[in-house]
Amino acid sequence: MILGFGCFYFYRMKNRILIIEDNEAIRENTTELLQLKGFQVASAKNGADGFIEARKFKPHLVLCDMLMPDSDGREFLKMAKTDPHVANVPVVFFSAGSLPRDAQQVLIKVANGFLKKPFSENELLGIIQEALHKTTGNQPPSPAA
Amino acid sequence: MNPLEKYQLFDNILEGVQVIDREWKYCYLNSAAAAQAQSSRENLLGKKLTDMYPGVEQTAAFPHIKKCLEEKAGCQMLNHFILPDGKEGWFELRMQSVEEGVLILSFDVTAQKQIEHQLRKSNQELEQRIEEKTEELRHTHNRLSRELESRLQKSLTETADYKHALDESCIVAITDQKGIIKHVNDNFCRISKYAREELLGQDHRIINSGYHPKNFIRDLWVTIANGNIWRGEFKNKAKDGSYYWVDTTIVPFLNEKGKPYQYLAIRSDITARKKAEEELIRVNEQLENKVRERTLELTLALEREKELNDMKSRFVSMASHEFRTPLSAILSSITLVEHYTGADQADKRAKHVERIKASVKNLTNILDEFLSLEKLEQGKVEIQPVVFDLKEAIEDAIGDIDSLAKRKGQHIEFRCEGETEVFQDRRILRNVMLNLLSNAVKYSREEGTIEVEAIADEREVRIAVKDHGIGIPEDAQQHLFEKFFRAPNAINIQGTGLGLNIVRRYMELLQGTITFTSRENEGTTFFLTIPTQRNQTK
Repeated sequence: MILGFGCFYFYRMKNRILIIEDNEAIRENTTELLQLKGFQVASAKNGADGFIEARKFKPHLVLCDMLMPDSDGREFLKMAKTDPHVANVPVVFFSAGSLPRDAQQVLIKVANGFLKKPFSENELLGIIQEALHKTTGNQPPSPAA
Repeated sequence: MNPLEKYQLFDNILEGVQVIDREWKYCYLNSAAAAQAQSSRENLLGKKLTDMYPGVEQTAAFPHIKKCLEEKAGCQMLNHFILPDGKEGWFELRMQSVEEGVLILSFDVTAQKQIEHQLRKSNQELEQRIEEKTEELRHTHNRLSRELESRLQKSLTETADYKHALDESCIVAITDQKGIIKHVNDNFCRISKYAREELLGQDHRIINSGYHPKNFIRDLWVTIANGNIWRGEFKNKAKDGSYYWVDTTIVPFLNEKGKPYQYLAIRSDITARKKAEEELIRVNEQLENKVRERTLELTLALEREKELNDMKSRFVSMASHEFRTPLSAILSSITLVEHYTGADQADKRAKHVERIKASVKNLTNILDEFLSLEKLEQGKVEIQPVVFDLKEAIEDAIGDIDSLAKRKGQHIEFRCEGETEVFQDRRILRNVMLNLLSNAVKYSREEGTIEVEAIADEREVRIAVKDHGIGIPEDAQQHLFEKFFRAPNAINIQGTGLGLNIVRRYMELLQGTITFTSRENEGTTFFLTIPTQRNQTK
């Protein structure tokens, strides 16, 4: 759900986002965009590196691509479960293709959101807000009109 | 003395006594004699015999009486005459000469005689009847005899007819209890191709074909030796070695002890039917084989189609991914350009403009790949050979890929040997090289080396592209050049599954070849051979 347009308030407490994406252009562009919006961004090229980075960076949200060479979104999830700090971090998946049905079922339960490529700025920011909002019961970042 | 007194003793005796004097008068007679004469004493005494019984002279007794009277000769005789009342009388007479004349003792034996007569008559009648009966019997006997004869004749004729029918319609043989042939009909000779003389006295095994197993034969003998009829089909061998099939019924003939003394075998020729059966089985087998083959073909075809469909689905989702990735880059770059509105952000804008262009190019390449495959499949690609320098062409291609390689920290090495001026289609060679090189980069890990080697001689060019990447699993190798095929270990890596199919088609077009060797996780080497003779045109 798109909650807002343009800029929005953020809490210093919750502004670390980890991007896991193998395509360089998308990874760099998304990083740039989120930094412009005031987030602290770290990135990784695959699930395994993403996990390592997550433990170091302790993001509030992970944006993760599904299909990546070496280790993909599912791999990241598996690894995330092994570390309680990482396991509790909300994950938003984005994908450029349609996933096989069984994978969809699994991910719907686990994921905090889905993004389909190509996604617009508003779509991206909206889903980030939603995901961050869900995890903190009493401190939602309020959207601006 | 008065005769009446003299002969008084005779008065009451049962036998008749009469004395006839020389005058033929009754001078004495007793009551018995009177009774016999059917008269009385008073009537007859003193009377003349001839007067009392006219016609007495004709009787048989008369001469005897006379003789006795005259010659005093006694006699005895049986006198038979008709009594006064008409009845017949028989008297046993004894005559003796006496003083007065003749004494006749007469014993009435009429009853006896009558009985005798009756008996005789009865006897005669009996004999007659016997005769008649005998005649009747003889007659009946004859009749029966004739009837029996005629029935026997009829039966014999019928039997002969049966036999004839059998002989005409079937193959008949009779053997004794040991299996020696005693009789064969013409049909038997005809089908076995032996003459009658060659068969009679022979053991039946003469027509054995050896086809049937021993226990089959043994069962047959056991059955018929026990007096049972055996029915079955038999394969026999004729004199000329040819085979014939017969439907056989063997009937044992039993003697009074219930044991077989001969066997009658009735057979009919079923060779034609058997041949037809064999033919049918053969044809059936052929058909079944055909059906099996077809089913296999169809199953394989179905499998293949299913494979193809699976691959198409994967292709569609992969193609979707292929398009969305560059589109995603374009959208995000454009979004950022919107943000970099300041004059001092020109370099940032420029960067993203380049990025956009690169993505558009990426998209275009993918589209081109689809289209060139389509063109190749339709046979619309023409070879346009020109003279060019092979080394330069390959270096160009490497140059295009280089930035991609550098981004992954990879390094491309190139070695070239031989006379590198060639006559071939440069664009196609370039496309092929770009494809192989981009694969090498894509499927290799970071910090790897890719080696390119080219050797040119007068006839052909041999190029090898070697990487140390993820390699191709063994069971994926046979499918590598197939349209839409992605090896299982490559699924997560961007790719359409069309590249190698296109490369192979290009090679076929150039009348070249492409092969490869590969080991999973160790790397892959592709080998190209392209004919490049100057005077080779297509």
